[in-house]
Amino acid sequence: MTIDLFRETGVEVYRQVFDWRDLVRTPISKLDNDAFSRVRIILMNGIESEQNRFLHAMARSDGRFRREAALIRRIEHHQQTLINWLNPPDQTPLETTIGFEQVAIEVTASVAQSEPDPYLAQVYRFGLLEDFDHMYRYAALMDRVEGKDANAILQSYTDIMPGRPTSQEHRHPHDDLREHYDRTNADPLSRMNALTIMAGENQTRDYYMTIGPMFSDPLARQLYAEIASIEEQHVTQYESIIDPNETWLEKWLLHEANEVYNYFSCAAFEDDPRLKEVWARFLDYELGQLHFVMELFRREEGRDPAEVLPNTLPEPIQYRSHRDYVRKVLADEQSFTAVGPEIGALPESEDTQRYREQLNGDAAPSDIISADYRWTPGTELSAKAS
Amino acid sequence: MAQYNNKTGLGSARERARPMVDGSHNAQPTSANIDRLHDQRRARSAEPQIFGSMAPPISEQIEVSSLLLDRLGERLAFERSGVRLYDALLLKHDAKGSFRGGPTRAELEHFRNEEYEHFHLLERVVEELGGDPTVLTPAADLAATESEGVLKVITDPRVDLAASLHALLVAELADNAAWEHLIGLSEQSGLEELTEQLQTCLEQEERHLASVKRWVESHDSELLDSDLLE
Repeated sequence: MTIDLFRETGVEVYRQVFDWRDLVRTPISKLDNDAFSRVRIILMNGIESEQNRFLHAMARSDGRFRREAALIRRIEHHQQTLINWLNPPDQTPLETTIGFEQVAIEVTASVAQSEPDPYLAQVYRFGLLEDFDHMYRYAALMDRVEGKDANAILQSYTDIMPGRPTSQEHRHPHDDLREHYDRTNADPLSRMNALTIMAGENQTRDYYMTIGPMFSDPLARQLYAEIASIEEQHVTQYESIIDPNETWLEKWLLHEANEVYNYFSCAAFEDDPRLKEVWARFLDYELGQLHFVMELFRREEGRDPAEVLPNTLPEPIQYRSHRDYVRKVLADEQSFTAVGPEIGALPESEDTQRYREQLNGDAAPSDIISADYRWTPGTELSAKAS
Repeated sequence: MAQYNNKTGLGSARERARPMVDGSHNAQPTSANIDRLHDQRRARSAEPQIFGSMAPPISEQIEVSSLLLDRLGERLAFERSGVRLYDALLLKHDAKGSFRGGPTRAELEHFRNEEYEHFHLLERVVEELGGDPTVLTPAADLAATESEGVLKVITDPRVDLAASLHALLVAELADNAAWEHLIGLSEQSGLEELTEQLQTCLEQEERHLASVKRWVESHDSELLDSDLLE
């Protein structure tokens, strides 16, 4: 099943309304909801956050569309509110962090496998192993400082083991910039994938930057500072694969289409009827917004949106465990490095080596917190750990 | 020597507080009827909500009620986190030492090890009763939420050992009450052997509580004496 972006018009923008009761609903259960429901909530919060960021950036740079952008942005903001407020209050910031990394691992793994461009697929695999390692470090933090088991959040879908060590992920900014796809001939799925992962990583960076100072433990604070720095690297990487020569309206069209794609993917996999209803409703909203922007595109650029958008959506993002795939990538590419736009078994630049030595000093927090750590069910204090 | 740098009260900003109080007194609220606040909150509590439930039993021959497994799961998680609280206290003790009437390192380590043994005991008990000791039960989740502040205080390096022990006191008070409650549930379930095991744990926890109370009281009593002398 797919969606015809040109035939299906969704709900008209002027009918996309909310009230407070609608916006603030009963949250999910941290214990009973499937982990992938939480993954979808976290990702879609990130997708909407990206939309907000993008439309503000557009309004600040090109005043021609500020009224239209303000109108759509307000709706998207409220969509984000409804989605993000589905997170339950008993889910601590560190537990939510585990959820964020699960998003990064499983969604990036799905994207890396579906990505038609081999270079871009390599970029996703490179980032995947780094987020995979973050999970391991945060799990160690949760175990050693709080005495809690991260698997209560992961529900055994996602491994907890070292990836590419976080302490080795610190790179000079110029070694985080990749080649971008060509707006004139890029596969539509490549454009969707880039927007999705960039949105996820930007939201992750913002989240860690917000909650890092809320921790009392000094190693927790340091770990968040360290991993937030890597997430900034990831945002730099993923935004660099997007053609900066796309016009503002092209980008807006792609953003809306990507939101349609993501809500479509969520609805396809969701097993909680309350959440499925939200994804279906917002799929219709995004279709309405997409057609609003299509009209703007035709009017202002005199171009056919079909030049930019596919008729139908690609296969949805696969919300399931990608354990085997991640382990294979880990076995094949853990030692890969990035030098300028290239990724592979390459000697690192002197700039990156100097940068890393400066930042890490005597030791990186991620190495300190997880010394000799092996995840064990019930934490490393469990009798079964010995 | 006491330091007086706290700026949170009106008394530390009398000049600017006065117009603030007057201004607020003279400003008109823009909405009325505080009952709506209570009504809304009451209405939400009346709605069907799911916090979370238990996991299915691992063993088909489940021997005990779900409630007891939930409470055992709560105690298991609490003891496990309790080990980490004591780990953090030991670090503070190592960093700056203790105070007169305060704990020795050996005492803290001993209590830590007893929490550890309690955790292992509960892991075994839950498994023997057909449950899954890795489950985060609803009661365990609630207890963790209740205890968030304790962890936050104890792991804060700005909070000295004495103040950290006050946070520990909160945990040990809750712990003792919970062990008593658990023993009652075990007795009601007719689990004699388990009840005996839990009773031993409670006796150890009672000693923890008594010691922590004594340390906190000793510290504050000394400080008060010192204040009164100045």
